[in-house]
Amino acid sequence: MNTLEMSSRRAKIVLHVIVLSMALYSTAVRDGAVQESSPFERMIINSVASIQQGISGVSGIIFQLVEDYVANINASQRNRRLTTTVQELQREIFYLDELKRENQRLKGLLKFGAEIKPQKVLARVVSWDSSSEFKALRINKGLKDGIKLQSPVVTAEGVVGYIYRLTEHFADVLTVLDGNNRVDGMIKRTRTHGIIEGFQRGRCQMKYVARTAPVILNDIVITAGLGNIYPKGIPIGTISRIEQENYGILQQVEITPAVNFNRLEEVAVLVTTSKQNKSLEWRVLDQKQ
Amino acid sequence: MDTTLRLKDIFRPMLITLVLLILLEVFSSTVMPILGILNYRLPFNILIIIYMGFRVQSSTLAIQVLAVQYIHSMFTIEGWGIGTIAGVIICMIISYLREIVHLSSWPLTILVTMLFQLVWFIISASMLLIKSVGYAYILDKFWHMLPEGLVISLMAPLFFILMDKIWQSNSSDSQGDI
Repeated sequence: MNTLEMSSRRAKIVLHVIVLSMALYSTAVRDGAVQESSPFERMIINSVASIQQGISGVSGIIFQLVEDYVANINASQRNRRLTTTVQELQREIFYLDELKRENQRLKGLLKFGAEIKPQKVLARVVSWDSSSEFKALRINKGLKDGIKLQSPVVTAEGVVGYIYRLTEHFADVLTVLDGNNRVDGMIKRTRTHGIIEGFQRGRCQMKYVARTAPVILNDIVITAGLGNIYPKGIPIGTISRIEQENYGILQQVEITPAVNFNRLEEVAVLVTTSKQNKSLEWRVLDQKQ
Repeated sequence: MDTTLRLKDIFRPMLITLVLLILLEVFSSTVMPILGILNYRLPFNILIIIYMGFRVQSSTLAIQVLAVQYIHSMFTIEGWGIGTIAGVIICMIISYLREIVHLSSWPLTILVTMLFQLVWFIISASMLLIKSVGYAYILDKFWHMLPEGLVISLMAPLFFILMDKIWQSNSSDSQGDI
């Protein structure tokens, strides 16, 4: 082995060690809840997301054309309009029902502080996460549209997720299907609280539900509003599986999300004008200790 | 002097490889969901790293792996850390096995690619277990990896021919040093 080969081998080992150390450090300190992106990352994401948006847009146009003109033009259009209206009305009824229950419970007992009403920023889904184990999606709205990190993302059916990574024109949404996303939820009928996490096969699991809690199938689960991200009362899904053991203090509850992620095309990002930075509940608790 | 020349030789094919990776990631993250394939993605980053492990022998291989994973992280919330660790370890394993394992035929290339994807899975699963991810999650990841890995392995011979052209490597030569 000559001197040149020796020095090349040494350089290779040194680089391997440096890169491995950097990767280990990055993995160790990585925050699973939110990701701040550097200007370089933003530049690349903005560039590639434009391509993704173009492809997604073209395919959307093609699908739309096929749906509208090859199938049944009027019926399809009217159906789409009516479906949207029904979904909006269902959501309104849901909110009103929730408000009614809340008012009945708390009337005369509590005074609510002035709430900041969130604005809706409508966005289109341009792509999904390129790794099948992570359930994130990319939307075509970003910082310039007023979106902030951790802004909740919803549809007329319910919760989609929250803003995980942000650039000027695009944003990545960590959906409720992902194991890294934790939503503080409660069962609408019984007001039983639990933490909802992404699970398997497009389902979520509700953790920390006491074994004695009177949970039944098809119970509706809504956001509890305690996690510092999602407003209270947005539907998360319905209970589709309950597993109770003879031992232990908890039961396993599986939830089918209210949102049909297979057909997700448009979403609404709820943005408040408040300049206050959101902190995740568990982080706030950590700071207080 | 010689090292500088080597770096110059690596820069252009590496740039083309990264552009190719971006196109393939766009295909995986945008076109596949449009076609209705929502639960499976093709991990082209792994395929590129396995190729580089076999055919690209340079002292900057670890940085090249990092570059591939960094670009990959623009398309996923996975981050670049775990993939870089898995990629660098796989390249180290390949460097020891290069004398024994030769990608001389298509079936062998398919088999070896599948095996190294299993190794990749074991490394990344171990890292996730350290970060206290449950076994159910790992099992789910494994069931996803099998069909995805199989498709990627079947694509490997043709993909390696394309990569040989980019890296100007002679595929019949198992060493394929650059």
